[in-house]
Amino acid sequence: MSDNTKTKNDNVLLEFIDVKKYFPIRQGVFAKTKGYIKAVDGISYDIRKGETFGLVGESGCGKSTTSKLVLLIEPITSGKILFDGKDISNLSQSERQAYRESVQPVFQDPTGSLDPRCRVSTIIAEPLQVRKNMTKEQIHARVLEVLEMAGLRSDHAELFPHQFSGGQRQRIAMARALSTEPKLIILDEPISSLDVSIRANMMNQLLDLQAKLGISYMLIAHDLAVILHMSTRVAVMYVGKIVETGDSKELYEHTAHPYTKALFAAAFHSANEGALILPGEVASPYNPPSGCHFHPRCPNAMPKCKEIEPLLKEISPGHKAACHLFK
Amino acid sequence: MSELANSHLLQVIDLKTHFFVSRGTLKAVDGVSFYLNKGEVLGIVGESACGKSVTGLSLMRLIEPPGKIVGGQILFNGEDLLKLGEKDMLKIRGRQITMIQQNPDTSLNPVFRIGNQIAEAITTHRKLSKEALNEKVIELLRLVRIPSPEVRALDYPHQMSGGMRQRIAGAIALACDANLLIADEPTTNLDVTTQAQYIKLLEQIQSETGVGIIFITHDFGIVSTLTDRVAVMYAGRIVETGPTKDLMEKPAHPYTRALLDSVPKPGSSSTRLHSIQGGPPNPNKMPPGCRFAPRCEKVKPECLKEYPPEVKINNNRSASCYYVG
Amino acid sequence: MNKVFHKRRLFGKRFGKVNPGVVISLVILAGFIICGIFAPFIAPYSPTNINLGDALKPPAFQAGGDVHYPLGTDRLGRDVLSRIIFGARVSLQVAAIGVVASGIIGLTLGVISGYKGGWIDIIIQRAVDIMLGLPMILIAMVLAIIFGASILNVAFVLIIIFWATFARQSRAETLKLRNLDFVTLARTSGTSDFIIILRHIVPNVMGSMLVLATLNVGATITLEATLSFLGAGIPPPAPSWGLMTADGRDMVVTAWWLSFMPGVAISLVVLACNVFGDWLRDRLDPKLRTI
Repeated sequence: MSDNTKTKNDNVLLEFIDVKKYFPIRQGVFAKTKGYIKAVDGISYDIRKGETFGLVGESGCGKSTTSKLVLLIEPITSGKILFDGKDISNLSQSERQAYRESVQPVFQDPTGSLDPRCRVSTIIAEPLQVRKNMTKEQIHARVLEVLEMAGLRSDHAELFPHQFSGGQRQRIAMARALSTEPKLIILDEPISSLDVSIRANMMNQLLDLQAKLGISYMLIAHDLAVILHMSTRVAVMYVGKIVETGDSKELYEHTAHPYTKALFAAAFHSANEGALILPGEVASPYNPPSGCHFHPRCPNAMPKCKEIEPLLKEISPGHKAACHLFK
Repeated sequence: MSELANSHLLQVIDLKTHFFVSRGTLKAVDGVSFYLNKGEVLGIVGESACGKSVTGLSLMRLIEPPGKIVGGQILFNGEDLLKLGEKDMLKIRGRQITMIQQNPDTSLNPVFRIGNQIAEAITTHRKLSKEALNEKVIELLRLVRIPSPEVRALDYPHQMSGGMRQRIAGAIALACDANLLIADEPTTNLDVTTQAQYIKLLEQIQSETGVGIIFITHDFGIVSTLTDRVAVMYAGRIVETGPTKDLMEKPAHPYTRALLDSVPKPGSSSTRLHSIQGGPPNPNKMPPGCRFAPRCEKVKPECLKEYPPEVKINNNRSASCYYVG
Repeated sequence: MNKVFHKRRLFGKRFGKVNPGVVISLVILAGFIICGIFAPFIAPYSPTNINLGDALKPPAFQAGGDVHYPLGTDRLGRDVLSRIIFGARVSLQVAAIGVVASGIIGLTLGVISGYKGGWIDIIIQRAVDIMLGLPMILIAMVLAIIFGASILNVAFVLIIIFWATFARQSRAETLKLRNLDFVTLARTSGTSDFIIILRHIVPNVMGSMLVLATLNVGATITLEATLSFLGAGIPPPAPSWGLMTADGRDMVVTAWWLSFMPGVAISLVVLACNVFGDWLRDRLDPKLRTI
């Protein structure tokens, strides 16, 4: 981790270097800061060109906050996020706009992400209209092009969002994200609000688009089955920290961290085969347990887990886990 | 029929619940039949708007206008609930048949201590002395695995986490030693690891109390761990039913098979999932024949003409499809 | 349970079934607006035409009434019906000023306040609180004493009072909208605040503003009548309903129609506004929309 703005690997698109995001808790008449919610507490990883990087975890683990940091919705408390080697928190006006076009989000709820009063064409064209160098005709042509890419028809452009089903709405959101020819799309729970029978279709479409356009995905989900299916590499988060990361195949075959094991049990419902069911609930990022945040729920907890925070260590090439079980 | 009904805790025959709205009649539940034996866990699986929740509410007779139960029988311990007056129904609802809903916050009152809320649920149906009541509350909290129940009984709902609140909702549902518990997606709002806990808890409660459970969900995974038998619903009808393990291993109906195939499997290397084209039909404009026909890969001309009859595959399995067996 | 239903159409068959009360309200409102606009063509006489010979004629249906004066005449022999028809014009003007002007001001300030937050929000909201806390009728009377009663005076008071209600509501709606995903998406793609407000916030706030406007029409008419009644509003001899009610109050026993007839006009229009507004609110309420 050097301050060098050029990353070692040319293949890396987005790089997190010890990123932290603390939200102050203010209380009282004078809004005195009483403490911090450590939503993201020192995470480092990179997303390579053309890959899907999966971020999995339960509520409060910081995965959505991470996406807000990348999308410049929230400022970073400390650390750095590099995109193509440039620090995204100090970009010039024009660099910032170019960055915004390169990184597009698709959110969980397709109903909430489409303005009910706007036509589909207006919704999709919005990111393009910020550019000053496109004519109306060019914008319209691009709208029709991305509509087709996302599996919709060109005559859908003049309709309103409520005239579509949930799956189609998510495609509109996808078309919008594609409009600026982004390099990275942040998929925040893209299928969890869809009906079971149309999820597979959406996942296939996402993977097809990636194969065709060579874009990278940062996929955020709580369902490990979906994450493993879609992603090249995965990071498992628990209360603001990455507890395990590696290739999704390696992670599946050689699951290391007890928390990941529990997620597996939950995701693939192997509970009746005597697999792991965790006691208690996800710790609060406001007042996380000492040492390893996971120790109160961990079946393998040792005395030192309570005191010493385990660091993310490589346990096999490319596979890292933060757990005292591994030396 | 009556002989059969005696061995079942619940038998639903050709239940129809329709909603009469200005645009026409929405046939949310359109001819659903199933049974539940004493102490059994039945899963009703389906996508949103397939009528699974309306089925659950119909069993409690909690359908409100513009909805109406327009036909069928709901035999509970051999007695048709649809023939009961509202007064008699009150004795059954909440006492013998209870419900856990998706969002626990709708069943908990934020301004009362949870102990009092559970006590209220008990005393609605029977009178107990103060000591006996306290004991019963603690016992119920223990049943739903709340740590240090004597202390937590004094908590308000907001002092508990989401998973705990859903457990309390469970305790309230079980307050009257019900025979039948209808759980409508109780784990949807919970975290995945908490979800696993809750399912385990339901299993334990079931074996401890012998209550019959109807578990309504969209998730085959949960069904596989919890239920004895499954009924798969699509567009207001049950398309397939049978013992869970058997049905999931050898699905007979194309919809069930497609649904099971569309879920990513652990460790499978193929990148493409089996996907189902299109979406569920509008309950306002149901296809004339098999309701799944427009999306079915194996569709044949007769599928588009008339709804397929229920075909028995073996003693306890059946499916509504022309190509079964 | 709601899942069973498909989303109600936003456009097209938007209004569904209409109950008779709403139809009657619409007829009353239409009549009110037509009277207001075409008063000179509808009214049988000039509202200010004095004919002392025909003074204090009772309505036509009462003994001693004259068919030429269906609702009777006042003490200067002016036709009450004509004055009510012309009074609709005054009320319509007042409603237009009170609702349109204060609506635009309130919407603008409310949306800015809700969207920007921070100090701007605090300042605008304190202004709203102060406006809603002031004794407006007292202030109107003071203004009437200083500047003399005039329609400008009425307009001023109406705007001061009513912008605050619009601002409060549009701010609340904006706060909700601001956190929705489509606004976040617009921001992350670099769309300017000005365009976000025009494209996403204002169109989504308009529905509830329309409802509030309809309800406020009734309130402005009442307030104008009150001010005119107290002598702080429209100066005579203009035919304001409030003024007419005030004129007749010392003759309630001998010439009951003088106060009663304009009173009925006020009640009908205000009631119609409220019924129509309530119905509009029910139809546009997003919570009811999904059912």
